[in-house]
Amino acid sequence: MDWGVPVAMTKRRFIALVTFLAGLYYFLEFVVPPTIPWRTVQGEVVSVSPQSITLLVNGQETQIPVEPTLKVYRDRPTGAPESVEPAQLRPGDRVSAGPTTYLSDWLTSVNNFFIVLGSMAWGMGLISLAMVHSSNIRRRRPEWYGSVLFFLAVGAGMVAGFGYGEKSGWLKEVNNVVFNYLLRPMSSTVFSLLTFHMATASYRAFRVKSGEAMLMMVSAFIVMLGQIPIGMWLTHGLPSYLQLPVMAQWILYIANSAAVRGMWFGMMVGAIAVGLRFWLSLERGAFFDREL
Amino acid sequence: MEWLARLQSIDRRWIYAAIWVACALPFVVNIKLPVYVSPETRRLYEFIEKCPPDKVVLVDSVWDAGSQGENWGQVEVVFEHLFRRRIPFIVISLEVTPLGPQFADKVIEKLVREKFPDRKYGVDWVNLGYTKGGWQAMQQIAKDIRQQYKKDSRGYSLDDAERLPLMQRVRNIEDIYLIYSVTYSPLEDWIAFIHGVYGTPIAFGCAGIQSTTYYRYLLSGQLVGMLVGVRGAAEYDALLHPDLRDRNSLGTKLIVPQAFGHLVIIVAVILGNIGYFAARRRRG
Amino acid sequence: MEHANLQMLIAIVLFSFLILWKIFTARRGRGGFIRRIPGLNEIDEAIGRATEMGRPMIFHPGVGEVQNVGTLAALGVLGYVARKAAQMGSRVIVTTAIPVVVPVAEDIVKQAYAQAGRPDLFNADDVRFLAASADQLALATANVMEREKTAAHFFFGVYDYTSLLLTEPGQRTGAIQIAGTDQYFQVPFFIASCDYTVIGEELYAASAYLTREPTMLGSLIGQDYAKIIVLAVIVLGALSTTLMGTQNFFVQWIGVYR
Repeated sequence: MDWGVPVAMTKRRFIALVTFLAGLYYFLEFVVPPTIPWRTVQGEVVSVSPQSITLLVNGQETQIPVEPTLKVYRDRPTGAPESVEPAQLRPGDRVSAGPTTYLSDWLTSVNNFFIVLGSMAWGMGLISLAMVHSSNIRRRRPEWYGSVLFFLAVGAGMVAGFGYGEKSGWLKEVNNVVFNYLLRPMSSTVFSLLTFHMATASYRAFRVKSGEAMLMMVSAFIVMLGQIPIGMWLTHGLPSYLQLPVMAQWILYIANSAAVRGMWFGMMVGAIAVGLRFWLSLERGAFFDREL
Repeated sequence: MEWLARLQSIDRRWIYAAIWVACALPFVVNIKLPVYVSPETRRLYEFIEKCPPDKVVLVDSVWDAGSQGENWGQVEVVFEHLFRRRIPFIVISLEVTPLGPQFADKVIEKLVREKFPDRKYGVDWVNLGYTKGGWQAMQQIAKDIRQQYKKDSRGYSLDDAERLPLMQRVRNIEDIYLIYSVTYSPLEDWIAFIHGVYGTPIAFGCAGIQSTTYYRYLLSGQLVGMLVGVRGAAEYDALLHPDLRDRNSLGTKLIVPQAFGHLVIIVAVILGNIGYFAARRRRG
Repeated sequence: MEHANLQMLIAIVLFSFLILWKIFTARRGRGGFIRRIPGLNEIDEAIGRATEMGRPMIFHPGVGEVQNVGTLAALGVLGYVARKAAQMGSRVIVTTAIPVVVPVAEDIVKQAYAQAGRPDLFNADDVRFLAASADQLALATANVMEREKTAAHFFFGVYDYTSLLLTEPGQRTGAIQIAGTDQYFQVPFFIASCDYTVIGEELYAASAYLTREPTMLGSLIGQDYAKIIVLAVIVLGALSTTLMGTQNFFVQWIGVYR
């Protein structure tokens, strides 16, 4: 009997279950109110003592005992209410208080769990790179000496990391050499390559082959000139609405924002759909070809 | 007409050379150019001017050598403004690159050495270092900064009143006047999870190319201001120093090669089109 | 927003209902129509050309983390490209800087070759984790282009400033290049240096378009219904504010001016 298929199916069902549960937690945390709605009291704080909070609810004073399960949310002038400890309350604050629904209490721990999980990717990356390069060296693939350099660089980078925050000493020097004299100029060099690529790409692509292409080129020129002092210098004598920086601002604020918003509405709805498909493991095509 | 048509296929190496000369020249000849101050820069400047004395500014400075051309100038001018007004600030580096704190330190060291020798670490600024965690980390910082950071980037405890007196009056988002996020492409989660929830003002410093996606937040008021690429840094410097001769931030220096670079690209595009039309006419 | 208010809850339930309803309708055999997306049509052409020339192709799934919607959509396209390549007996090289993408991409490519009946052609070394940062990855990928003499390049997913560092060297090799990204600001670069570009939301529709899978098609139609609702709210909000000012019931209820 071939055990490959059942094992793969069990693995997939497990992934689907974990995905669903993790998604369910965040979904419920978001939609379920943080306090039990029918036992939540809204009002203005009159006084606070370690044992109880006195609230003015519809003109009547109400005592709310401070218990471990009590959650207090203070209204803000803008945005959503914030969770506060009873001791932080001041008379006059508008609050809602009630027994917790627990979901939000776990948020910090769940968040921490995902932060830790995310950090593991760094280690995974290093392991993956080390495996690729060690196999290069073992099998003497072409340019395997590059892989030896990789291990040397990782070692140097790790040592240099310890030098961060040191005031002096050899560790500080290694840190300087690695970050200031190697990494910084090399990264800057890569980034600056963009300038050259951008120039040749625009030279090749910007041909006025149609009315739309003409429109695109004129607006590109206005924005490019409007971003630099020369644009201001060229048009400083003209009325303000004809000055290049002002025209560039109009293109960026109005025309550009309209297009970006349109695209973003579509993309965000798309993101909801993709999120929903993954959460419920409905995705087909690349990942889950077979029914679970 | 033959030679005109050839303009549409100039060897890319000539264009590379022209760009190289245009960008390198301003480093040889010392030039400073006046700039037009755009509304997004002015709004950030004016907003920081109005900071009340009991609040701090949170600067999310997370960039490295790759984008320092644009981001260095953007934090330099704002740090200078904060030092000048003696507004304390906290530097954090969220996601993107673990080299963030080192680069922020370099900018601050330079400012302290050259312009503000009496500003003290722990009193006027604190660097909390790098952290991962995206919007979850933002939420933690907002609720209780000590949940996310136990120590600063130098290893001092946040509760160490002697070394970090500044941190003793910063608990959560209530104590923060403004969050200024500087990186190649700042996380929009700041707007959704911090401005949306707590109403805390947010400002961005971003690469020029990235700015096009953020203008809509300026229109809706979800961003109080934005520094766009080298231009934003140069404009902010102009607001800090009305006299052109006093300006010496990186932004003011780099706007010159940027200006020349733009001109080369515009000329190249025009030449390419002349060649294109000449070739089309020849073909009839 | 820490917790959903009533309006948000209604929006979530409504959008989810529309998308799920359309997915299940489509699964029962009532599919829909998708307009032509030129960039995606050319994928077959590019794979065919690479096969004819006997050269491999490169698939670059962007620089976004694996849970990013754009990366997920890109992996969907990878599934299609790998399947087609396997059917034609061609080689796909995947390059990435995101560690978690490696096992996922490996699984997708392996499955594609197995389904096409050519498991022997799958080589785990062709899914390459080349560097831990996007710019180093771009340089390393450009290297692969030169060394392997690749004939087709696919750039799908989330891209940052490194897009040009990939496509310009690629352009010089003469390979056919197709790109798709949901990162609006990288679109101009792709248009300037690639043969075909898939823009924004089209990337999310790519999997549905290529595979014609009912679930994906239904999801697309559901999205369109959701967008119609968003548009209706925008139009109503704009009209009511213009006619009655910001103090009208609709705008107050939606909560824009709180």
